[in-house]
Amino acid sequence: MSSDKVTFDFKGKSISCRPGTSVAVALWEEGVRVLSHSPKYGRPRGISCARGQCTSCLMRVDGVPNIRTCETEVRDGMTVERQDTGAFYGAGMQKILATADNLFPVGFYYKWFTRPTALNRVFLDMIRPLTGVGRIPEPGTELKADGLSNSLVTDLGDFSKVIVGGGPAGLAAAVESSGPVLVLDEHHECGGQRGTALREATTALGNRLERFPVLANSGRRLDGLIKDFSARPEHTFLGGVRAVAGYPPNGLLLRRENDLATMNFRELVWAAGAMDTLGLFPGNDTPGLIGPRALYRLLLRDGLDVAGRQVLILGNGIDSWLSAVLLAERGARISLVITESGYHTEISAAIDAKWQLTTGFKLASIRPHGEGQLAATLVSRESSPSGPLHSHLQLEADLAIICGQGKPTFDIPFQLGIDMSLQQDRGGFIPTGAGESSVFSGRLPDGATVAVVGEAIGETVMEPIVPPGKQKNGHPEGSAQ
Amino acid sequence: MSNPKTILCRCEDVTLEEFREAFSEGFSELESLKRYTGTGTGFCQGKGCMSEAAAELAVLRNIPPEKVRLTTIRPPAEPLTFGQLASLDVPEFQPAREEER
Repeated sequence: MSSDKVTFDFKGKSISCRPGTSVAVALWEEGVRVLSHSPKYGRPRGISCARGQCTSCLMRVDGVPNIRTCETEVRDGMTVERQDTGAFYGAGMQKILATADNLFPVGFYYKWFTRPTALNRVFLDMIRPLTGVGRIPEPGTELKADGLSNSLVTDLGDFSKVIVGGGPAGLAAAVESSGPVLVLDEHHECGGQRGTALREATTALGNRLERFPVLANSGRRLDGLIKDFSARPEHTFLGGVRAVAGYPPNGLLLRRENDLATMNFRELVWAAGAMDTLGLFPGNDTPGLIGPRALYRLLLRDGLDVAGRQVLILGNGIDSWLSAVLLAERGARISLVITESGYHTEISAAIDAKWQLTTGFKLASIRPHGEGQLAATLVSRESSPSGPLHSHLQLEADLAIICGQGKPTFDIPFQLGIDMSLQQDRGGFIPTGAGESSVFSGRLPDGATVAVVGEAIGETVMEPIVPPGKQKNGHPEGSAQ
Repeated sequence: MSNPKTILCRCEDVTLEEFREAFSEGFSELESLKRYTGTGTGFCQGKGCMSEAAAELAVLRNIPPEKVRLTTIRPPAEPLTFGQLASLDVPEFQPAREEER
């Protein structure tokens, strides 16, 4: 294995890594935790969503700016650079800015010197070079056309019923469907964002699995659905495909790597799941802070090496335990902070892993610490006036996983004309009028239908894992905040 | 070093403080707050911040969260390159529409 290494260049340094991993992960393992700086304040950013949906990992690869390095596989001889162009990014500049921060009022850059026009021009000329991400390729750089293979169009076939999302909700919809359906998922296997993680964890736990009823039930349900789905040859699963736009009345724009294709549907089931919610607290953009879905992709898709790393897991529910089991399997040192107390002894007895469990704390803030690490400050949930000594806790880690309720993906159905409203108990925007229902069904102006199911409508898999006999004092939901 | 900023919109680097400040200046809808502060106009097109922004606005205005009006989110939902778009057979959407009439 060690002979077939891929070597690429980062800032003149040659970095060797295993083939098949992503640029972002190769850099992380090499200790490069800051992949970019934010456009305005020049704040350091690291791997965040791990699915090409955020700005944090955008870098310049072989001269081409704005490449999602979390989704770009390492290639021999590639050149990777940060695309920091502003004057903010000097090493000392960050410290100066942090101290001078209080001198500048909120939004000063668009409020100061707006008149007279001549002064405004001078002001803008002064501050613009300080900010921004990336620069356009130098004239003469040859850029190749991206998607010209056009194989996605042919692979799509002529299905009129399409299900976006191959997780439990999408598969359940497919199994119930009478006619042939096309199931699309951005992952290459069906099972959803948690699928592979769940399969590995249930295997790893072996006969201890029954002590984790939620993991056991979810694993069994998923296995059953995959079996039922594969017993229906009229259905097709197409992996690696992402819905990138909805065009009314019934058009979908789909992307598989650089290939785009359109399709018109008569029936759409939106089962695209939820996205990690990190929450609003000071330092919520600190490198190393990710959600469980990102962790699953980093571990299972990219093979992120966490052996010996310190990982902090915050929160409760299936994702915190699933993350813990996967990380323990890979030799990470885990601090698990659950937001409720009462059953951690049973849990730690059920797993041999040596992790540090803390209960009754909630996250207050996170900040960068040392070389690529982070430090989390936790405060006691019951901040008792008598116990200031125990009300604060500081934990340092390479990664912090925030396990809360995900936010439903809603943008494509919304673009198609399904009205959305914010339901905080469901984690975010879900179709207006969905009420307490776990399935929303809507009709588009031309008669095509859109159904929204699963985590995309806030169906929660956040049930805390309560051991038998302890149910009575268990709260229904946990959250990292 | 410890910079206690809470980032609402990571792509456009909008802090929670800036969003609140904009609200206090009189921008009271998600749509106008988006245009004024840049919240949700970046690479992720609001995937990472729109529900947080809406929840914050509900608190600021003291209204139920479901009463906050969402902004327009225009397709595509993620950045595409010209190279990718060039590979697309554009007229495919048109016949379907005409068929329906």
